[in-house]
Amino acid sequence: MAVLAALPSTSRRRSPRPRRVGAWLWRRRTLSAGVALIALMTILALAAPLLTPYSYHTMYYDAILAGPSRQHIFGTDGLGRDVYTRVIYSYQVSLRVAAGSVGLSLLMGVPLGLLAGYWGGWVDAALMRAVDLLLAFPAILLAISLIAILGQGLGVMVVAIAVVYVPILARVLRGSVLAVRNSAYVEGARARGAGHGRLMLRHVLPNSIGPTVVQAALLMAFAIQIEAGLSFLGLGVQPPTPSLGYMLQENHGYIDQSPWSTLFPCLAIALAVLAFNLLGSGLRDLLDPRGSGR
Amino acid sequence: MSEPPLLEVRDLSRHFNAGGSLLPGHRPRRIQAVDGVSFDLAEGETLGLVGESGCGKSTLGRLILRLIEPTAGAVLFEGRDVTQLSGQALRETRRRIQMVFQDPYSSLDPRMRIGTVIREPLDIFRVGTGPERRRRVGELLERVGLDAGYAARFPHELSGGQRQRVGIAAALALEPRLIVADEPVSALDVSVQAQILNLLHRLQQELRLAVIFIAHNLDVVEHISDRVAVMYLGKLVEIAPTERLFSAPEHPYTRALLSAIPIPDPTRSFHPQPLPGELPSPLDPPTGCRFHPRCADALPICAEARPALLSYAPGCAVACHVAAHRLGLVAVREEGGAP
Amino acid sequence: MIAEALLEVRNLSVRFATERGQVQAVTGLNLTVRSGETLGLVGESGCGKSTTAMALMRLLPRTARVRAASLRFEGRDLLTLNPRELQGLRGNRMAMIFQNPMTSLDPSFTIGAQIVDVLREHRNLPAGAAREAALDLLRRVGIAAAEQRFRAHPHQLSGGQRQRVVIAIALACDPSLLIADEPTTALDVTIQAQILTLLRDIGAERHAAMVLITHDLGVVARMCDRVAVMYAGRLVEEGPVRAIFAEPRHPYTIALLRSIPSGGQARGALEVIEGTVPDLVNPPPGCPFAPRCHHRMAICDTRMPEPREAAPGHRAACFLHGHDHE
Repeated sequence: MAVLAALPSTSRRRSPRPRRVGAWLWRRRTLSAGVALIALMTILALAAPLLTPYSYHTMYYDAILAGPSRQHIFGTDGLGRDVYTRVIYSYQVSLRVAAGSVGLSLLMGVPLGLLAGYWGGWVDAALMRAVDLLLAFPAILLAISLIAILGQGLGVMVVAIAVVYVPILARVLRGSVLAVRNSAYVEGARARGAGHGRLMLRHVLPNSIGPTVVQAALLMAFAIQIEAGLSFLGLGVQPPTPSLGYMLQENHGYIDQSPWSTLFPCLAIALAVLAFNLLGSGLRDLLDPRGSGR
Repeated sequence: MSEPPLLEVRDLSRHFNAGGSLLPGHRPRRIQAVDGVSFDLAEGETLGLVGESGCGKSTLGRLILRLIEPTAGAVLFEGRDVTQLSGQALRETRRRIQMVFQDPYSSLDPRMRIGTVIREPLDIFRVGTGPERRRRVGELLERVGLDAGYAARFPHELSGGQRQRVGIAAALALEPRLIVADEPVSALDVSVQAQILNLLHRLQQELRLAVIFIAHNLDVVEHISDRVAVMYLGKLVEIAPTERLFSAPEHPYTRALLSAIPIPDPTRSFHPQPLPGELPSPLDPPTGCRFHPRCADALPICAEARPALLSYAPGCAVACHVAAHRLGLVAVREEGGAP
Repeated sequence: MIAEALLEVRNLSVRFATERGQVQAVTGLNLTVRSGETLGLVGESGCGKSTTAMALMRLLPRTARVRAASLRFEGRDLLTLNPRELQGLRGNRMAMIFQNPMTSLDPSFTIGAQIVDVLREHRNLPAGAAREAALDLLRRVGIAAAEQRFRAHPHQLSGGQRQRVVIAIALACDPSLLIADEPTTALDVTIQAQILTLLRDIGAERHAAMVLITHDLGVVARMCDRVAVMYAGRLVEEGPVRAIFAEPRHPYTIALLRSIPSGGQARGALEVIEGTVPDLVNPPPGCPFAPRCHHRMAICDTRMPEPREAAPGHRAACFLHGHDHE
């Protein structure tokens, strides 16, 4: 029997690979910009010792609150420490908090959202009521309460933020799952013998995770701000570990004398938040089936 | 024919709860999506199932596959009641009744390659070895008229007609004996529709497949079916061999339905039988015969008693008081069986 | 008797910019619609029929490039009118009915309000008179209990009722041209029959011309005086409805008619059109149907056949008809 539909041949010559990749990246410049900035921050954080001659705690008493100069490109703070060095070491904390808290939150929130959306009925109702309880607490207050109970430190902050985020991610995923689980292809897989586990993990989850990933990226931006806020209040990581929020706390009294010691930490926070926001926006455009992916 | 039919549907029903109060004095509201449907299907036979929105034909298709659980009745497949099976026995039966879905644009997982989609049932039921499964995927693709190389592609790279072929290939993977096709060509262009209809016919001949063809397009149903069953508001109102149904329909609804089809022949005049009113709400179906408020021939009894599905010739049955009266039927047996 | 041409389209072309490139959705389309006649515009998905309809109403987005030698309606050139003038025409002299009655009505307003809206916009009627006119329209399109339904919202009505309301809105200002884009595709068969009968009767009553876009040849046979067949953005055949069905001239039309199951064919033997629709991004030269045509000749691959008269009033764009063979 003659085969009706043979594969079409590729008759047009395609442009060279690097050019196509370049064009693809340019069309998605928001995403590219976000990824580039995050890569930059990660390099700064990971390679911090190699990127600065100073250590973050050495005090130079002859250069207190100095402005930017060739020796200290971001100037020094109230205790004579090099601001640039402290900023890039602080990124270690910021990025760990962002990735750790959101990662942990996904670990807890995705199964919740998936099960609630897939099973519906009383399972959904029960899980969502539990999640709603958490949602009722303002993020910062919940974080502060947990820190009060569990003590300070990076780990506690990560857990506190993660707990606050679980309801958000769970709800977003649940919404997508509700839309996807009634799709014809899920029904088809079921008709062909797939059990619940396979349906959930191989068909429903991959097709519904998109908006949750976007939300996670945006939550990372917010996590950076929460961490900065908590550190500013003195509830974050303890000195001598530098953190951006704590730097603001230490130096905010010196603003009129030397704005640099607060300006650069601020810009650093802003840059990090911007990077994750761009990532989130770029991902949203990428995953939108109707968009042009810009 | 003395062979038992491949499929026997007996009094199959499915209702849905539609809210309503639990307070005393209020009845919980129900939708009878499918209400007491019975018919038989022989091996290799094609039954067309037609009706308009809300008639329950899609629900009936899913009940037969047990994708939805029935609330009453039985589905006997190869002699065993599918509604009572569980575990391994149910899984084995599942293999032999498959479904082809309506919308080719949403019936394939957009993130899975075609080959993976077709292969999945083989993996689930552990049919053969890895290389054997791969080969079978290629065979199935060619059987439905696609190059085996399509296995590496994603659904969005294929046209609607090609995607529907993939859906058929996936349904054939487990070598079923019965396929329920839920509006398989409704979303396709006319010229592509012809390709798929020809394909289905050829596959039926080659594989001795029985098909329940659910559709709203009566021209297509007339072309492809051996027998046709008409549904209205959850009930089976008439069933007969194709030629008989289309030339001499007995049920008033069937007559109205057939007269409403625009025929592609400008020389014939178009006078659809007026069907007053709208489709009643399934929450509040009329008493007695569900069609009586819109029926020009209604008798007083039609508002009081539900007409039983009565056989008037081999393979022919109708559920209508007026028709029963006209045909001189006595309520001895209820049948919708294969001749 | 030759009636005035109500709508005259010459050399219409529509091009869209998409990610894949420029899509030539419609090319070189010539159409004439006379007052009071119903023209069927048929073709399969992607042939450009809906795009043509939207172009006629000048409703295409700005990313679409619409060009025509002339696009005249009631003697006025639609291409030269400014947005305000066009707005004055739409809903008034020319009206459109879309496919999906579920989404064509605004869910936030009552249906009465939506009809009154159109009347007050174009006819400047005071509230009372507009309401009366709207009620009359509702009765005319067959909505029972019009006063009650007047205050209903779209979601409270069935699909068939909603489509009746859409028709009422379209006809409110007595347009001379009604464009109906697949008006019954989303409806059940028996409701479709009601709506088609309604359209036919009302159209005749008000002497409105109608362009009926559909893929259903049965609907065409029932409703249309003339038929225009489109393929890959071009008009391939046009003629009186009986002639098109009895003696189709273009190979695509012939194949299309043979592929519909209509009681005559043996099972499994429906005629199939091999191949697929051409890519509109880079249309090859010559006749777009050539790769799939049983009567393909050498010239078909290189030159585009223009529609020529194959019989009186019946044109086909094919080198088999009405051309001097080179």
